[in-house]
Amino acid sequence: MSQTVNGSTENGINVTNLVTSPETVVKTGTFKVKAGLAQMAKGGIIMDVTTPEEAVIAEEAGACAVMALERVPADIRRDGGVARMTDPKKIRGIIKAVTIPVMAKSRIGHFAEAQILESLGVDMIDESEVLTPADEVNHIDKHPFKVPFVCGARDLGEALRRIAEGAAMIRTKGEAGTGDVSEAVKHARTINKQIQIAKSLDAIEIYNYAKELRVPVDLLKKTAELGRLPVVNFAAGGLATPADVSLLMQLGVDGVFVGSGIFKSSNPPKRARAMAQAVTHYKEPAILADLSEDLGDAMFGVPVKKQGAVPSGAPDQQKIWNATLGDPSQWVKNNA
Amino acid sequence: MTGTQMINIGVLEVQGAFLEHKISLVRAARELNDVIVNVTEIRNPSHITDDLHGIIIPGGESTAISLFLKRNEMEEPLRSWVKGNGHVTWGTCAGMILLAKETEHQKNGGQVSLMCMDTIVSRNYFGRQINSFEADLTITDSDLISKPGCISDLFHGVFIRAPAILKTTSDDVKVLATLQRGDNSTVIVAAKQGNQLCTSFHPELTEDTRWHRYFIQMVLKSSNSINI
Repeated sequence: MSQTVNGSTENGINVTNLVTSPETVVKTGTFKVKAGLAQMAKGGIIMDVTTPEEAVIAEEAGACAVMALERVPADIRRDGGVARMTDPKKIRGIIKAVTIPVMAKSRIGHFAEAQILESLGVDMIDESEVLTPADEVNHIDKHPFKVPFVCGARDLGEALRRIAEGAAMIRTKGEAGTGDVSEAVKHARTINKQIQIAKSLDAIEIYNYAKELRVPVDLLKKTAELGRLPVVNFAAGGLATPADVSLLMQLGVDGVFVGSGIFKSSNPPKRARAMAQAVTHYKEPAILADLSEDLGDAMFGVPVKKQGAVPSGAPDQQKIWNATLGDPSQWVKNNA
Repeated sequence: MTGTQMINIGVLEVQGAFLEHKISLVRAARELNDVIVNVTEIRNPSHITDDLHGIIIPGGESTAISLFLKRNEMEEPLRSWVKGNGHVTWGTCAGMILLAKETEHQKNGGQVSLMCMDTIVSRNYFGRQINSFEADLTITDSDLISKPGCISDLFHGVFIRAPAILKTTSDDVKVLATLQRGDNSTVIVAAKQGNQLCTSFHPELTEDTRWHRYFIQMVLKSSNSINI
């Protein structure tokens, strides 16, 4: 049973009558295969889960993958401390519980955690800013891994640098664990805008823009030519409702991650199901209205603008009054 | 000589590589050169109409797709469309699973199937993502390799957590491509039964449009395409 192979097309040579052994030559871990998993996730929703039970709820809701975590970002945010890779036992349990792809997070730059996650058989690794970075300067060199990586980005420069390092998928960073979608929107819009700029530049200008963004010029040229990122791009960070999903999908992302938004809400199975459907029905406000009905409380959330501010709301209120009507007490007095 | 023909192809846009399929279809139609292909999206039951001549069920996660079909009451309309006279359907990856009458390794509690092809399919047959691969496949249907511009009787297949056909349960199922395994066994990775086509790999992720041309030609042969 000999057969012919279409040899090394990479070199532009098509050798059509090489005889090989009966076994087909199989190449694993190629970039095509790694990016392919991300392509299969398009139009889908990836949910953060912390137990096998939650993973089953996510699968049953229609998630196209789950992210196995020790704690959801909202809890990481609340607890503080150093956030690390999830306990392998927990990841194994989640892998066992569901048939959909299972992803897990490693710290930025922590290639040893990534190696461990790869050995566990996770389907994708998220080199994530949600965990405490392990390397202030370098990200993981993602090329040698057989498992694909997804990385966060706030702008086109970050996105293309991560792709140059071997990321097979990009997601907006957003502001995980807040329930506030504004940062994810900002990042998605920034990337869109910068791609529009790149598209409008001539051959010389694009060299300068690549320098400004600190990215390889070839990758920037490819992006301008495609009019989009050269890998799958998801939204993440702060999505909590079907409407949030629709908003980001209409801004042009390929799919969404939902972290704390589901399991920090009052009715996770129902919300998970509604948000999963919203990814496909994102263009249909009437269907989204039905999906958004009676979901219970969304996660409480912390508006990004309020973070780090004085706990009391007073100073902020003061600012708003000053900007519009002057000092509120003054205003009250004058009308008395 | 029939002149230029026009066909309507619906792509199930629930989840997965539907955009890639649309691009490949348009390219394939251009190469065939006497056919115009209108590609439309299928996202709710009202999109499944008799105006369609062909439907593609793309890959993605079969669980996510089957749950969506069930919750949007699309399962029955899609099943009866697929079984309808002259209707041509192609399932890639998850689509192969949905078309099969029997599936192994389903999620707990089972999942929706359209119950159309006499095949027994094993989900994630080749393993997890780490085992996803690219390989050159032996194509066993001369229609796929005799086309002009075809330089090889092999097809470069991209397999992502792919299923495979363990067994066919009817002689009507024609094997189109196989993959040889290390233990000298052979598994079926593409098959056809009447107007239904399935591949466990992803031709839409490659530049090679032979499978999309093959599908368009199946549509032209079997349906009442519009002569213009």
